[in-house]
Amino acid sequence: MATPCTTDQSRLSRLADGELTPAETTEVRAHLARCVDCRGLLADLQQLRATARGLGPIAPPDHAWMQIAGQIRLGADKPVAAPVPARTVAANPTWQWIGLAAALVLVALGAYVFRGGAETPSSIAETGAGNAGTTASVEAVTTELGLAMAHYEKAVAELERIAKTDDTSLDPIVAATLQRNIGVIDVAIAESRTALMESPASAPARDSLFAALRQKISVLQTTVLLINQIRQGDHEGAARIAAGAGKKS
Amino acid sequence: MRRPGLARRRSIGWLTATVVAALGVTPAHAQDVIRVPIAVMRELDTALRTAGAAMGEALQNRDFRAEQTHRETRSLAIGASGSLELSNISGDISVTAGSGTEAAIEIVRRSRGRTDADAKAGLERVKTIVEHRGDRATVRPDYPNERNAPYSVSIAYVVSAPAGTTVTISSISGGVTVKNMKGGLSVQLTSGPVTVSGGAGRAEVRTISGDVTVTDMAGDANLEVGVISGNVVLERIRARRVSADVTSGGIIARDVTADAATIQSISGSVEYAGPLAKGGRYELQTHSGPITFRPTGSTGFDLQASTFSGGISTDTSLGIKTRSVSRRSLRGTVGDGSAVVVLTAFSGNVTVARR
Repeated sequence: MATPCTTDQSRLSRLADGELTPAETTEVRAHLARCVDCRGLLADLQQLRATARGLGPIAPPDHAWMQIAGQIRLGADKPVAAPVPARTVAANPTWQWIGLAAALVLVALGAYVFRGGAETPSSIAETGAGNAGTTASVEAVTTELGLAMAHYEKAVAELERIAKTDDTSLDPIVAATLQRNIGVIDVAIAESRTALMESPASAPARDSLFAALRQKISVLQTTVLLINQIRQGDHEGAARIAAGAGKKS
Repeated sequence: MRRPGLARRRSIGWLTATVVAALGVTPAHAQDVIRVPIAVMRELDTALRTAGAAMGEALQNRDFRAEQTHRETRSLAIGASGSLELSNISGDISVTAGSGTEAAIEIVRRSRGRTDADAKAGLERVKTIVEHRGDRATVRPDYPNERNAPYSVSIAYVVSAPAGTTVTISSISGGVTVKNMKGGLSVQLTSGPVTVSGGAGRAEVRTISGDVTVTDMAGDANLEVGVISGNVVLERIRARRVSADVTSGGIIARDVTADAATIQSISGSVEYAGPLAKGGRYELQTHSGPITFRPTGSTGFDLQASTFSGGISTDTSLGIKTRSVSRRSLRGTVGDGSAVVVLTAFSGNVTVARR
């Protein structure tokens, strides 16, 4: 098993954002010259950043979206988890659509963070609930999430087609657990959305919505990967993927 | 390979329902109209499938009355700080720190069938593959690709390994217990409880379903726990960074010493108690459930507490100097404010108190 690079990957985010000092840039560039993983991650981050500027149709690299997601979720100013090893599942349309849809939601969340600079949703609210900047951010996020949801619809259509034609086999008890928890997350999302409609500047409502969305993506990601692995008869791989459960995307 | 003992069923319906439900693609106003029927159907579907699966397995297990057991012990010279990868489908795994430079692995295969012959056939067909090269060793099961096998085989690993061994465990079903291992630890499990005690290296535990308990961890490595359904207990932990993430279940983190902590549940309570580090950041979040934060020691902190529909209460003995306060939000500073504490609940109460 290859040892994952342990470099501080938040610096890659900051490099992509042009936020490193010249000295830091030189240092990171030197590391990039000898680390293929970080070069790939940087390329993904740059692509993601470009995408976040203009949310159109995108095709994020399947092998790297979890790494990207981790970067976005944690933000540029927080420690990040170790990189997730690349997974080669590009041939599976289920994965592609889920990856695309999930990436789009994350792009929306990422754009939200980018717009707020280094501020977290909580800190944005702190600067003055209901001010113009906050309202604009909320509207932007609403629009971006709406776009992501449109892609979700496409993903659903594709998944339904696959579900009707493929031999999709998953342990019923595990399936029920995943399904039940997706229901729990859906309730959290619905409640958060309702709360945001009532109180658009509410930091806890906004934070809960984002946390639930991230968790939903994580659980869904686990579900699809698990199905893929089991379909391929790789139960050991299934155990590893299943255990990726809870690993935030 | 097919998992023995579990009747495989095609689960097309649940997938569709899950995905549709998970993605939440219907517009908000439409969800109000159709959400309940879909939810009801989904719950019914879940209940029926769960019951069917349990019943099927119970019936099968009831018929599998004959049992055969095989035990073997392997010694693997992996050195004092080698690596050991244990994969399994069904069965418990126990790893305990031992002395010396060899890992001793007792492999217990238990096969059940309708007849002794069936059970014996299970032992003949289901094997364990042990590979050892240098300081690395892997142990994994080898099940034949056989549908409707007349047997059910589980495999237990009882391991004594040098304390410095890096241990990687992946399994579908079964309990995992790890004691006093000081090397890195990764546990990835679909279903079953995980108990880790006395560790010192980086530890990562993830499971879909099952409680996770980590106690008496010492060192400056990271501890990560991810659970979809289950409770998490972390006690007497010293780590650089602690993160625990649960979808359904509570999280208790007591006597935790870490530079940073991220503790989050969607549905469940969150409790954290321990000293804070100067410059440390501690984030606790839950959607439905209370948050209880009990700082110990003398490090001051900046507090950002908020809840959408719950309440906030603080212990006066903390001496919080509030900058802004309302029924649902509190911002203030304790002491020098050198650490950052962010507590966010949606529908639960937030409590900040001394022990």
